[in-house]
Amino acid sequence: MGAYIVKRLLISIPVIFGISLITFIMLNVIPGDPIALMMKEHISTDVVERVRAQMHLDDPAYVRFFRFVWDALHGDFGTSYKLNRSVTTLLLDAFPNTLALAMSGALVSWIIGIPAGVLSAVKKRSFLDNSIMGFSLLGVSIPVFWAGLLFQYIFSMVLGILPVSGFSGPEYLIMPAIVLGWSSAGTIARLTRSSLLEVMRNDYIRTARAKGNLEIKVILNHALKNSMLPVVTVMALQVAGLLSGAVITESVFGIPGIGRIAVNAIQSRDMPLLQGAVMFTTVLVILGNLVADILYSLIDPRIKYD
Amino acid sequence: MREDNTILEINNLKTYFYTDKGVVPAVDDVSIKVKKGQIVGIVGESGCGKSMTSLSIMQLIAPPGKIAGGEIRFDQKNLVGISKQEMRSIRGNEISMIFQEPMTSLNPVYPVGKQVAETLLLHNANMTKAEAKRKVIEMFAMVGIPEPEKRYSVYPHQLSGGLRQRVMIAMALICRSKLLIADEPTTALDVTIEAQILKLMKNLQAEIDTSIIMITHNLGIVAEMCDYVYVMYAGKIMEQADVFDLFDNPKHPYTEGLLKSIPRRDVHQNKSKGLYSIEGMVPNMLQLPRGCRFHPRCEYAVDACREVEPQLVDMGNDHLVRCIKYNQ
Amino acid sequence: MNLARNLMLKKEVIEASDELVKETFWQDVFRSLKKDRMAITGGIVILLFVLMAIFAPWIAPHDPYEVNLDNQFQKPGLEHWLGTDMFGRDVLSRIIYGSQISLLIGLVPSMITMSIGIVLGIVAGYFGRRTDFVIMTISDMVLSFPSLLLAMVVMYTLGASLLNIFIALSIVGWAGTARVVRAQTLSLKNKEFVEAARAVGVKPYIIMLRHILPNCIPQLLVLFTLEIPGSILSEASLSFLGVGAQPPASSWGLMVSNGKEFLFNAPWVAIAPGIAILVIVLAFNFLGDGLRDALDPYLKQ
Repeated sequence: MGAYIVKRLLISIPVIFGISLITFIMLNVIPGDPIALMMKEHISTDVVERVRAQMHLDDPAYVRFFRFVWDALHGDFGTSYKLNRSVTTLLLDAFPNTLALAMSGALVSWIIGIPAGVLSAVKKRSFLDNSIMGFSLLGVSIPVFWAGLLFQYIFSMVLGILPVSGFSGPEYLIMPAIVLGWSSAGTIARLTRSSLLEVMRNDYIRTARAKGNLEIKVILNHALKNSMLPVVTVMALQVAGLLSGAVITESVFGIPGIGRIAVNAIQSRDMPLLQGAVMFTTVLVILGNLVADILYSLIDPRIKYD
Repeated sequence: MREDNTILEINNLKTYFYTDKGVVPAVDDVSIKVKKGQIVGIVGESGCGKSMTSLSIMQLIAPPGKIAGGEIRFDQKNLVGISKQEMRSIRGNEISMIFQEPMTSLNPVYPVGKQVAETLLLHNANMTKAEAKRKVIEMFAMVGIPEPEKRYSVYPHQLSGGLRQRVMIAMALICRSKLLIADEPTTALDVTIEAQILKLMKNLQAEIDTSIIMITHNLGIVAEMCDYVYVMYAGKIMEQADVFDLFDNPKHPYTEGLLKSIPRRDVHQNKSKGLYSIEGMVPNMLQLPRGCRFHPRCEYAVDACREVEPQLVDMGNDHLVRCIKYNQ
Repeated sequence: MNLARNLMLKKEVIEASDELVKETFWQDVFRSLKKDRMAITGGIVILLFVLMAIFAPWIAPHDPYEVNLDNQFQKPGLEHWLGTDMFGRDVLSRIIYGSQISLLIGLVPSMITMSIGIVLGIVAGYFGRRTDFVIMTISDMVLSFPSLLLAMVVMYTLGASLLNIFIALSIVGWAGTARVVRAQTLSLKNKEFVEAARAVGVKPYIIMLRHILPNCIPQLLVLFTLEIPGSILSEASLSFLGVGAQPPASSWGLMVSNGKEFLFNAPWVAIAPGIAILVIVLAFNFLGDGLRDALDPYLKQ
């Protein structure tokens, strides 16, 4: 297992390198002078020239790219144009908030999604099944930002039981987590349902019944574990989705996380900060996929990583 | 008068499937009797209702299938209409089953020993896990699994097909069931493994004193294993007899055809003709032919066969046959 | 003589592979769809939105861009059914005009995405080896990006405009389609009719076009129907974050964004356009779902 993890991490290196290249090209090579954009027009040209030289912006693109990679390898993503602080520090400060949000969002989606999917499969083609499937489609279709505003309106404005926005205590996490988890919950419920129905057709389910098992035990002990395999695969893809969702949720609820940094960086055209945020998030996605793979091998003994 | 030593008696069982396209009489008015310690064979081509008969006994028919009539008396008790709870206490405990595909009949995500122990724990509320494990390992040794202690915690995919089927047998017999239903237990295995498994089953049957219903399409297995045989075709029993009687003196043209299609060493075969086979195919169960179900494939068919469905006729010596030849 | 036989064979092979995509396929699909009430409802709602977008100037009760500061934050009522926003503009009229942007965003990037994905997917699957490796590695990279963030980066570089949203969403979206088409191509590549076509020397691009692509249609159809609501949601999110459509455009996402400041005093400004997004996305999802069920036998082939 250890060897597998090392191997997977090694395979990730070219992917991360490729992504930094794509990001770098999009942010740097395409025309547009960051200094001019940053400082607006009322700055004299020689100031601009000095800053350019200071930031090595006059070097050829490939030199700048390798300098970026080299620095990144040393944990240095440069300095934010706007905030004049180390990008790495800014990101590391924001990371725990994003992690807390994404994890609790994921938790919400599993706690709602998996039981709902099981219930739906067990009561196949019943009113309950149709309702759950309808709701899950609603979950997938609801715009995350709008759901956030709706929640704020209902729970903070009308009912006044939850704080509107900010991040200074666990209660601030409740609404964002539900809003973020909601849409994945729909996907997970649908997948759990179809996967469970598929597994229920297997011969070993008949064996489990022939042993004299209660039907509910057949489902929970014999079918559920097998049916979680595709769900875990989707959980890996969910990492990217959750981080996308976190960008929006953090903006709506004013949570100082990576996503809000990225949005602010775009609005203030703070290139190093945006670049750092993108790289950071991508690495998170890759690590998330690795965790899902390991989880997969824990469920399915047929998979051996070595 | 019911004899005392009857363990299973099926009377006029009807298992129908109510599909969108019509009703499929998968098991149509079938009566079967199994005595204690007896090995009874049910033979027929695939799709003739053999497996449905066995699943009916286990009450494991899934919708749109339903037992539409008849009774299944096991140990004097009618299983048709019995409560689910009562049925569960019988399944795996008093009646157990071995399936055709050892590859897919074991759950891939649990160790095999645990899967066998589950049956034991289900039906013995007071048993500890350690005790169950000890018994499973004993049983593994009994069904000839080498290194049983080590095998307890391996996963199905780490075992060969033969070993997996031995695990299935261990699972079926761990509660010393009174009746074992073996549904094509060796079809998916190599011929050499097949012989070993059959020998094992026969030995265990004597040792544990269980009755066996052997479902197969292979008359060779029937000759080797069974005491009494039912020949099924399109949901109906066509002929039933003592195994020696059936092989020496087949009465139904279908049985005759099945016997002729066994490759044999002792009879000189006409090489140019090759192996005999029954012409045609099993009929579509949604559109059964009028009259005798076998008549479209029967070389002796006469006009009457197309009109009248023949009845089972007792030829004496517990030999019954469903053919118009014997109906007059 | 041999040549003549070859040509005959070639023709037969080509005709045989067309069998899968005969008219009966569409008849089949429509028959199953007709039974699905949710899918029918979805279809009707989509049709209504399309009509609304086309006839917006005739339907809208007010000018969606007419600013009237005396008329700010009118509550929903007889004159303004869904009230007015902070510039006194009629919310209903803006939603009606907004359907134009949403449908355009739903259709155009999805079509671009599908085209790129189909071409790259078939090529990767058919040629395999290095081509496959390169295309799939790039698609892996794209899939590793959180899609919204990638789209944001593209918008940062190109600047916010409708055209750039098309580009951003296309850059993000093709990888998923490519994966599906590649998988399907791989499974078709070794089917008898493709091998037969190859054996008689049919050119690769003809094989891809005439034998492989038609057999991907069921998958693509479902993918396309589900890609549309995805694009609509992405545009709304981008516009909400301020990197999508720019004022005074009446994009629904932008309307929600503008309304969020006044959520507690004038909730209708933000809530109403959100409902429009929800309804159209839900309608496409219902239709896509129904289509998936209707195509189920073809998808499992």
